[in-house]
Amino acid sequence: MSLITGFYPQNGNVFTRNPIIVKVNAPTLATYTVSVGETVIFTGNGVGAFTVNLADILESVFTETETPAGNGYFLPYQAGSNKLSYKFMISTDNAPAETLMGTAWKGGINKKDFRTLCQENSDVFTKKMLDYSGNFFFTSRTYGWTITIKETEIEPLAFIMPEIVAGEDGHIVIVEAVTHNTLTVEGTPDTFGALNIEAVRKYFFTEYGVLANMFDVMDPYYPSRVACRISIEKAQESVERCAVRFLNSFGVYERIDLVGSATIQTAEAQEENTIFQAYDEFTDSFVKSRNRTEIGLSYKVKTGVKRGDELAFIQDMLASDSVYLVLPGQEIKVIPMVEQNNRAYIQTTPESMEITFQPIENESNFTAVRTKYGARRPRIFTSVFSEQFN
Amino acid sequence: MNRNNITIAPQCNNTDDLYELWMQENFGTEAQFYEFMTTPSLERTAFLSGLATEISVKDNYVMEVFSV
Repeated sequence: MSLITGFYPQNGNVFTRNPIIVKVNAPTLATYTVSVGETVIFTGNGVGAFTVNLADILESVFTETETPAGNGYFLPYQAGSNKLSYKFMISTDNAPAETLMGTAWKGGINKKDFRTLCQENSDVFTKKMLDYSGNFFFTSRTYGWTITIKETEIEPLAFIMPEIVAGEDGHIVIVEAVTHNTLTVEGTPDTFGALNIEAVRKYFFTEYGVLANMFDVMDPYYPSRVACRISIEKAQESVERCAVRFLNSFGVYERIDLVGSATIQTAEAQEENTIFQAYDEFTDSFVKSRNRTEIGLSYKVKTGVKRGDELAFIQDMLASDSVYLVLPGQEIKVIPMVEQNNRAYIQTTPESMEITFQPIENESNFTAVRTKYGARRPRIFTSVFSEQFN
Repeated sequence: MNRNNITIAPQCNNTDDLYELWMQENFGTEAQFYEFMTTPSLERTAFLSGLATEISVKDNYVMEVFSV
């Protein structure tokens, strides 16, 4: 009789923020190990019928996700940040060892979809990320085939490079909507990387003299079929503008543009006994004194009018474990909060909401923030010009 | 209006002509012109308002293609 009696999700790719369940039935004491690469990261024992959830064990192994940077069209993510290969091995004294292997990914999908897909013996990778006839990008903006991104929200779009011919580089083909020129984006098959939309748009601008903002991504296995469409939406002009960059449900960074006014609230950190008595020898008396105190800042930002799907995307940001507020000249790691927000279930008009962002740390040294130009006077051939000749 | 159509960011099929026109009142490289055309601003709206526009609708997206 087999030691492993059940396993779900059943296909090779799993998200670690959803359960990864192994059901075991061991007549005698069984020892199991969970390994990533060659390293054993967890060892456990059990007897009888028991289940092991690998999700929490594997979740702890991922390193910090960084948005890949560069001028290339396909930008691979750092190894170990979003994807890892794992092995589950179980053995008893009487039975031969049994092994389960798969690929774990940072992220997860909603419980309703997870339950339905498990009942269908399927998973989100088979239905979406590895189904190149539809929207295969790791974006939580939409599940549909059209991805709409504001021109101020452009971030590389993550996907798994398909393998088209064994042993050769994989590729996807992008067609721009104005004059239908194409660009083939190549990369190593099965690599987790991101499509650099900004570089793609710039390619059509410099090579063909076309400024395009709508791109069809073709199905790599049926080149005449459109798999999905990336549309860059016109953003409204605004005097004040900031953005948030956050780790979405699929474990990659996305960006939301916030055009409403931002206000900063300053509050002294509530610390007891900050004031003490210091002795003044000239007057032979005690004067009040204190150490430098930490000041907590909080940023209140109105989102500006948003459509229903954009508000749903904002919900994903509010639930995120890693959010950065992008202000002119600086980026601060923050915790987003919404005190109360009511919106129409069926939206007939665009709505706005107010979000409070609290930096993760208080500050007591309010020195001017370093700029990328440094403390020197800008010279000619820098990107900052003064009116006088240098 | 029952559907909210989404307006695509400005597009153009001959950026060389537009760059020449832009250079009549501005000073900058082609890279700066690209930056100007891809960043929302009142100046961009003003510049585009003087150009010929071809408007088309693709699904629920409205596309504006500008030319001199």
